[in-house]
Amino acid sequence: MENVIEIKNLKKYYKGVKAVDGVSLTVEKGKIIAILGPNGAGKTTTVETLEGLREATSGDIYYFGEKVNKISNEIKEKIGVQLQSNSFFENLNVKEIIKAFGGLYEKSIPVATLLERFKLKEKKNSKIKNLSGGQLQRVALAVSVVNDPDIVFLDEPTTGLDPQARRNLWEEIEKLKKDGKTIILTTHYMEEAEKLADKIYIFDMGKVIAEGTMKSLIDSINMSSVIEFETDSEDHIKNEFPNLNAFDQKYEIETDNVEKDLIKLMEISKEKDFLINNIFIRKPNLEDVFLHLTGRSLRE
Amino acid sequence: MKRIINLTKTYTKALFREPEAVFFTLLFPAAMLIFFITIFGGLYNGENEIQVRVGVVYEEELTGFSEKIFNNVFEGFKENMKDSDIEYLEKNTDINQLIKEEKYDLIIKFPENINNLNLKMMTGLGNIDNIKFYHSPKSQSILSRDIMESIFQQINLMINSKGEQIKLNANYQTINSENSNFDYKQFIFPGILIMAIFTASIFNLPISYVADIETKIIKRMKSTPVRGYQYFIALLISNLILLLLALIIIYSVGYYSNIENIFKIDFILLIIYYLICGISFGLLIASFFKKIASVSVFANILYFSTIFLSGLYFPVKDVPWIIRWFVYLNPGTYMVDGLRNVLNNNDLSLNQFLVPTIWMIMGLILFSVSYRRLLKDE
Repeated sequence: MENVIEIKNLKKYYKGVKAVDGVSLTVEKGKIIAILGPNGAGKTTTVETLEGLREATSGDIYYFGEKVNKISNEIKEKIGVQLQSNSFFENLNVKEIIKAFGGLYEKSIPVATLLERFKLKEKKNSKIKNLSGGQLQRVALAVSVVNDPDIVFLDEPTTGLDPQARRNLWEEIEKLKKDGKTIILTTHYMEEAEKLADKIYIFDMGKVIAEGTMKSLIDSINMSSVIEFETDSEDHIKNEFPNLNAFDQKYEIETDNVEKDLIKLMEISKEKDFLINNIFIRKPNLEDVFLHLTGRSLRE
Repeated sequence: MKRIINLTKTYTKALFREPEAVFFTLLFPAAMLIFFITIFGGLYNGENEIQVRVGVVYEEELTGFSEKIFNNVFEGFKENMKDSDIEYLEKNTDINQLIKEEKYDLIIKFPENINNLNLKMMTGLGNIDNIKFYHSPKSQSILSRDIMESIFQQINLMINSKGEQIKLNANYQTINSENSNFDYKQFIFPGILIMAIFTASIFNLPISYVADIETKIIKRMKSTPVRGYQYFIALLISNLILLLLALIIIYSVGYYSNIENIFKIDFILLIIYYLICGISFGLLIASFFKKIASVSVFANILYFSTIFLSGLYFPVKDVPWIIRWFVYLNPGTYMVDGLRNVLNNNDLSLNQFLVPTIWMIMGLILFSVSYRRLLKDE
């Protein structure tokens, strides 16, 4: 499969801060790549360097197999960008915004087609400042593909959206993939990466700490299940389960033997006379991978 | 080119949908012009204080009672009206020329037989020719005539109290001054033009630009094939379109208010030159800010102090020394005076060209140095 983007040892340093510290990644044509990581992991800096918004301190970038020193207009014609913050003229309406951005490229998709495609027909005359979060993200998505790009960068497209709006946007992103677009998605929602990505890069402190498909990443931590529960008596359990992870009032035990650890948990509860609530057994996910690799939660 | 046109269309649309920008650029200056013309249009050119210059010509040296009466009157006038002045002129003075040149608001000419007043007051005999008042049709000149007329009525009352039926008569001659067409409308019109230019350059341009930085619109533009210079051209043109419309409205008001010389080619060229200077002044401001809140506060302070201390609404040559330095540094002072000079057929002074030019060069240099830094979002 053809690589449309390749980065080798990309570094972006600011005064005393290594925002990106030797990142290498490849993006295959027609795939969705998720860059997952907590805030400040270097996700946005990496994609903004690829978009030409920042200059790399060092490292090599290849677009469509060719090394580029600067992101030229020729490349910008072939990529679509959705920034982390939606930056549009507030007093223009949806139709005008799509048309305005279309006018900045050599070729563009007709406004009516995009309004139809992203279910914005009814809102075409609404001013940007009057749109809801979900509608605004759909406009941003429409604008990001107005030039019919080969590659689309989506920087945390669902941040701040309610679950329904988030799911709707996921559908739109999947449709883009079906249209043959290559998508690079940054997110700190593991569900988003799990749902959409063909390949996931996990970032932490400016580095890629793991990469692969979701299955390969989960398999890599050799964990069969996780027992989740709530309790107000952490100290009693901590001694018995050294691999206990705590998140607010919630606790998790990584285990290879669910039955044995569950019985052990119940016995401690009975013996020490404290309550355990909302017990839930689940398969490991990307959160566990991140936890396993860094000792911290993605949400921290 | 296609990108610049499309971007300009977008910016123009966005700018015209900003109620504040439209009101303050398009409507406010024209409303101010109408307001000022309506309120002050009948007054002389903004010199509001009563300050009259009176010349006195005696065809015959005064003696006796006449001398005493008139000397007392004129000295009393000097004492009571500190800012005014009375000068005694030579007998063969060219009165018409002095009035035309506006050297005096009023010249009073006493006849050759004025000393007959002495005889008349004692014996009731003898004739006295009329005293002549020469003045221009300007309000300040007419005001001087009215003041002197009331003083002479007072003299008549004094004379009557000493004798019988003695009365000094006067006749009046109006002489058009060389600048007789100049009035308050001519004074305020250039000021309103500069006000519109400064509204666009000090307010709209830097605030639009800094807003684009803060709201990340520039960043969004940078992710497209738009280049920095294309963005600036579009931003400038959209602001110029709004300003051009404002100038057309001000010109329409000026035309219907019979303001003269507004279509003079050198006047229009000077407006265009000052417009370029104003825009550069705006770019100078934009060079220092990245936050809307900071640029708004600074633009407000600068705009109002620049406008009020430029002589736009009132003369500023006599402001206290503590703010006089700002008047002299303010490019608006020279721009307003320059436009007034050209509108009223006077020559442009070197300073009226040089000072705005220095500001323009400073603005362009500083902005060209800083704009890459400002465009970076790192």
